[in-house]
Amino acid sequence: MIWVDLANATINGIVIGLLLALPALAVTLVFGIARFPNAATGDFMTFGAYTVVAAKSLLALPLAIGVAMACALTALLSLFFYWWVFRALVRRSPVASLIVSIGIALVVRSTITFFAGQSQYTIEVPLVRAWNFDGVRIVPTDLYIAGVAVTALVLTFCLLHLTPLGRRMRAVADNMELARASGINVGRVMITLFAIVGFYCGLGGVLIGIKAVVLPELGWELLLLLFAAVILGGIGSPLGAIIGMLVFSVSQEIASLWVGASYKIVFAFFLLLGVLLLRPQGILGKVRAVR
Amino acid sequence: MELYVSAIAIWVLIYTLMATGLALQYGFTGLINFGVVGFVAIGAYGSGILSQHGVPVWLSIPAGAALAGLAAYPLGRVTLRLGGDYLAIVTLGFSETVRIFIIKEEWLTRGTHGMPGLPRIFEDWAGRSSGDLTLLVLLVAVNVVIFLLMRGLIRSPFGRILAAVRDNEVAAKALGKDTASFKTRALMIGSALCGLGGAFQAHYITFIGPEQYVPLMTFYVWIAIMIGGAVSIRGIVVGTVILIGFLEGSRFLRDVFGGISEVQLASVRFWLIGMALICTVLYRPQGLFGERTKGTN
Amino acid sequence: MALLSVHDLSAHFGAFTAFEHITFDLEQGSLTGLIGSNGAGKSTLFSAITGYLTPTSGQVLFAGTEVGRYAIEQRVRLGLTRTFQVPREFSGLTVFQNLMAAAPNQDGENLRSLVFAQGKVRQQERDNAERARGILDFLKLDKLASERASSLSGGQKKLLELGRVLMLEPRCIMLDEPFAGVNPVLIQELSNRIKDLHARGIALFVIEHDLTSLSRLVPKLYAMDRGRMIAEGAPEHVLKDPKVREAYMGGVI
Repeated sequence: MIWVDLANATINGIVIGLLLALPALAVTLVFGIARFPNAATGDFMTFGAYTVVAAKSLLALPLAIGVAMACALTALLSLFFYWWVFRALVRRSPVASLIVSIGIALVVRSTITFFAGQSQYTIEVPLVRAWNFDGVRIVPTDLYIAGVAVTALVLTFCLLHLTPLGRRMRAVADNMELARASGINVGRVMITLFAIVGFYCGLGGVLIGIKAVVLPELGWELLLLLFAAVILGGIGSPLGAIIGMLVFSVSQEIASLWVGASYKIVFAFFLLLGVLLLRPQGILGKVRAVR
Repeated sequence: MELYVSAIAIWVLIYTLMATGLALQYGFTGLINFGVVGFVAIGAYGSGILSQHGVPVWLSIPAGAALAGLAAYPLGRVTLRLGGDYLAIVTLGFSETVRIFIIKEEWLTRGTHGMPGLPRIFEDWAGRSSGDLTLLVLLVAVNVVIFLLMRGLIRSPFGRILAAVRDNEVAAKALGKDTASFKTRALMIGSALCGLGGAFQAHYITFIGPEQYVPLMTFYVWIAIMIGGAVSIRGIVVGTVILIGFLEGSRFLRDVFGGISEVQLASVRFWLIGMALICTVLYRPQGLFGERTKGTN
Repeated sequence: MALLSVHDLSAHFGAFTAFEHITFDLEQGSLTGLIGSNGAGKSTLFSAITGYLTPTSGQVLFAGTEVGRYAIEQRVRLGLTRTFQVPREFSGLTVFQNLMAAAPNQDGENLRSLVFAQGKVRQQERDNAERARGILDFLKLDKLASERASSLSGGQKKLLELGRVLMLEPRCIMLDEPFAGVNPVLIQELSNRIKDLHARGIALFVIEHDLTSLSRLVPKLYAMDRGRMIAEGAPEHVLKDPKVREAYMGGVI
């Protein structure tokens, strides 16, 4: 029954796409506002997932509190690196920030493996039987995951488009010098940005940890997919990141019916090349002028 | 002891080849290649597979390097006509793609089993210890030739345009230069050098397997050129010596601190590499010894 | 026939209009100024003519060729060149090397010639070096030839940029605010060099905010406001135009 497989793959792709839209949003916001691809995004996710593992196994805290802790701590981690590193690099070439973000990725991941080792963990959630419609399966846990992700995404759009803070963020994204000249406190915008980024990475990491297993390479292996989705959507466009991520993960799930799951990164790589070849500005991207 | 010293020297000379390749790309042209290990792997597997099909080593090694250079061509064509950091992202994906390809396409690469028993260089007429010495001499010669070629290239009109592209690509375009073509050629030459290093390494340790070609290796090479400052041959050599010294030295870490597991030791190493990347960019963008680096300013 | 002919050129970015319905001609060897307040669309118009951004509609003809779809470097090869508002020097190279890098059609840019035609490459290098030294003399930058470009002052960088463009032997140079951030002595110097180039038959099109220096320099002015051409003619005529005074100076002059 091919269409049943297709339907299941599509549903799975949508759930994964929605939850990965959170870190994709983090990537596109940093790309658009701070102007560099943040390679530490994936390992911030890993950090979030391990925080929940630690909260549950070491402190025996309930899941909800663990998740809140993961989001908060990842936000703090992200803020710490802004405060220590990225703040000093604002006026240097984006290349410096990009290289440093790789360094941060390595530091975060190695700190995790130092304490937690290389073995797998799972974040256990109450098992609920899937609803079965003639083979098309919907797992209630997936619905919760999707629900949390959608709520977070809606909140972001409210923040960006309905609050003065969001307006300032968009102004900095448009033209940092102009924003600075017109009295916007760029430092404050950046602090907000990196707090949001950490929060989303943490939440995204936990959700993917619930859906799959928790591994040291959890986030790193998703990094390429995140970048590819953000470029497909148009760099700096939040809506584009979500659409890009949904397109990617649905097509990836469908493709893995035929080529096997281990080719996921390869698939993302070739899709990325295709996007760069055909529409480098992305679906919702805009062109910038040279002065 | 002599064996150990010559082994270390061989490692240094293999890594200087890769570091020179990356320095041409980053230090002299301003390209960010986060997929060094992918080109190293292509050089290693290219030469390894050819040599197992009867191609002599002296031919298979340059062939491996050439393959690595050719693999860079499509990546350059697609990304380098666009502004921004697309090359970094694409090369990162490329190196992972190469690794997965090696793991999955067992008919060609023997997958996770790896390929043991590759022929050593000078195997026919030298024993193991004198074989190492002859290899050492050969590597010194290769490095000298590469350095001379590289110096000629940097000082040529071609090298001048690479520097122009690095310093201000828009201005280079305004002078009618097809900057994408210059960047692509620099990317290919640098990647071929990474492949050359990989091919020598494959025939030195006589075994290749996908677990050798993880992204961390890319950042080993990055550290080597960042420490050295990326724009001088002396810097490249010093940076590589420090890197290999660190990699070798960290093996003895366990003798100093008892009770560290293998995984923890690897984590510490990993952590130090990350910290070194952060701290050099942040506090010594010109490298430990250089006067200034243009790439990061 | 005009050297540069812009016909009904418009550029929109989403809802934002950078400029629209721009039509004008530049004659061979002419010297023309372009004024307008910040955001009037002058630099964007320059960028569209020289290929840095794609206009929404309209045509750009250079020396009889429709160049609207040409890449930047193709337009440069036809002789259509520009300088930038903020100088873009090659900071790691010396002043002399900056000019050498600009030389067109160098065989030494080709890897094969570097290996197989070394004699030819060396000969070209000597010829280009001679030309570069001539240009440095002309711009009075000769004493700075072996300084790193990053160590120059703002005005010297503008001269250097002009020198690089001259290596291309252009037919038309678009100068984007050549006097901005330049001290008065150098402004005089730069004006004289521009007049010299005009005398050599190179067409020059100058964006400038320094109206005094500009009206002394050019015989003809265009004025833009909010993306449209609003006046053209002799400087004294254009500067008295009520529309220009209204738009550009808010009536202060």
